[in-house]
Amino acid sequence: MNTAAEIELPENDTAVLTVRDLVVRYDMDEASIHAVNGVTFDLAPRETYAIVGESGCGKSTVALSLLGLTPIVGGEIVLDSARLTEMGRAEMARVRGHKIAMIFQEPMTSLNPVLTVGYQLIEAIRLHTSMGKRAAREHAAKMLGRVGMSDAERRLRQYPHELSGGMRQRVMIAMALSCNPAVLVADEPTTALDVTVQAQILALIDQLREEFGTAVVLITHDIGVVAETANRIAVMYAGRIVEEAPTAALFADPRHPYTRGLLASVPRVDRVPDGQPMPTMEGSAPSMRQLPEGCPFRARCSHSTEKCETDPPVRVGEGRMVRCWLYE
Amino acid sequence: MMISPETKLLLRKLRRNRLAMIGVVLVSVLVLATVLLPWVLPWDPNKMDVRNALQGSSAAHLLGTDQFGRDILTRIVYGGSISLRVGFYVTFASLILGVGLGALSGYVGGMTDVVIMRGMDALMAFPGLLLAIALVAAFGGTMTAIVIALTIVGIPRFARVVRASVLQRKESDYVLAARALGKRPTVILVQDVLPNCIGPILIQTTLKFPTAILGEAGLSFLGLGLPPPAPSWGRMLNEARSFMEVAPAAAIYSGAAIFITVMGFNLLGDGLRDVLDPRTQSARR
Ligand SMILES: Nc1ncnc2c1ncn2[C@@H]1O[C@H](COP(=O)(O)OP(=O)(O)OP(=O)(O)O)[C@@H](O)[C@H]1O
Ligand SMILES: [Mg+2]
Repeated sequence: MNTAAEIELPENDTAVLTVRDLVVRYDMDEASIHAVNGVTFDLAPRETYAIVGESGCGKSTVALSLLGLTPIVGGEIVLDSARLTEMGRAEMARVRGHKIAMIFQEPMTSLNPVLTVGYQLIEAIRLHTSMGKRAAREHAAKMLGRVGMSDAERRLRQYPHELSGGMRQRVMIAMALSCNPAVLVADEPTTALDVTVQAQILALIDQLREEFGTAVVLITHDIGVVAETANRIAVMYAGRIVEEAPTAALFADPRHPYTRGLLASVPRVDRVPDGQPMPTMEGSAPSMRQLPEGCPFRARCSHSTEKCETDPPVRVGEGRMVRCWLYE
Repeated sequence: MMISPETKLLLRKLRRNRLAMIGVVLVSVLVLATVLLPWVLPWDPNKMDVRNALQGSSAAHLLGTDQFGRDILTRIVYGGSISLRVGFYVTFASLILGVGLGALSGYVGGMTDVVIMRGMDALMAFPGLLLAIALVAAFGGTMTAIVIALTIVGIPRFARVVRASVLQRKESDYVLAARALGKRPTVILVQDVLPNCIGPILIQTTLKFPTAILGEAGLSFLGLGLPPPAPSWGRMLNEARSFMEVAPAAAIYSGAAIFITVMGFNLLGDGLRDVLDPRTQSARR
């Protein structure tokens, strides 16, 4: 496995978040699940960094790890020059929701059903600020306005089930941004929403990223979703980043065979399929319980050779990275 | 906490549930009767009047008199207050301890969970009545002893119900979201986990009440309740047994009091369960 020293990403002193060789394992009774196997990336201030990949490749695990909510067994996470991976529980709780915040896939179930929107929002604000109740309430109303919810006073008194999915996701975003975090982690924030609402929420996140100066880690399994908002895209496969590139470069010149497969399966208006079935990739990802030696993609790859039975090299240059024997 | 719209909806559903409403009526009548009737009834529940023993119902004694000439209605009304008090104390104590132990067990997990749950298993495996008899025999027939005995018997089921629903809520999205906000575990338990277990806790509470009342009646039937002349329903039933053929009134009425009370609370509890059951809630989504 490659270490951080070998990978040598363009060293970036200004990075707001640095992840090096992150390894996460879920220990179950019978086996352990190797959910993340050495993930490395930097997040520049105000950047939108997208992580895409199939279901089960470890995207959510990376996201939760950034907040210290997974069993991390190796690697390092540095946020604003603070080493999160070395913090104790209490210290980490002060960082969560304050310096780094997260929104989730299921807005319908991510709010406590028995508490009002206002209560939950005010609580989130007061966790990390010294604001009094009244000041926090004013701030809460202001936050609802900023996420595009009119009639904030009434909204504060409502219960989650009185709001639509899109509105609830706005509330989640308001809670996440209420303490002005340096990094916002959005784990499939639009997957559970209607198509029209999806676009609105993505646009909102992008707009707030500008306004709050927050950097965003945007996770999705649908590469089409991030084409417009992401500055850079990382493609994940079986717990690793196999390719990382600026968005335009990735779409114009995908290098890893898996990335090419992903892009080919995105429906596009300029390539009307004429009733042909959408191309999909053959086979399925290897089990995270028992990862094969070498490149985990090789069983599905049309370019695979004997070399692929050993760990593929990492090639870095032109602001992009690819992990494949084709680019030795 | 305010009455949330969700609670209002549940109340409306409860009102449409006929059996539950019968339960509500029975329980209300019972409570009102035990509170108000002592002010109205002219008799002392323990005053004996042997010349008027074992009489049928009359204008003076609506339900007749027992073997010592005491007014049966008056004794039943006073007995009701014993039953309700025992029911209340036992339910309240089992609620506090059961929720505490169950929440600790489910939320903390690990060794804590193992120790608490094995303890509960041990209590459950022990015959409840026998345990109660042993405790009352040890501490004597006082209200405190009866309440302690019935509470110990009542905790395990409570703890299990709470533990199961805490375990379930612990995995919910809103708990993960709360952790991501940086909330402390204790705050999450109190704000996010327990309030969402309120349904099962409420059901268990209403079902605990009749069990406790029945438990007290059983103990006093066996002569292990409050000592005579306390007008406990179980004792009244026991005493009336000897005169069942000549004067069945006392047996019938004290038996009926126990039956109606337990029935009322059970109907209410079952109704609540129907209303709170997620399977009947799907229409709300
Ligand atoms: N709490 C957990 N305990 C045990 N295994 C887990 C846990 N969370 C995730 N996993 C496993 O870890 C692997 C990675 O899961 P993860 O949720 O990170 O994937 P994902 O890329 O987010 O997938 P999806 O697109 O379905 O959300 C999967 O095999 C999953 O089953
Ligand atoms: Mg996921």
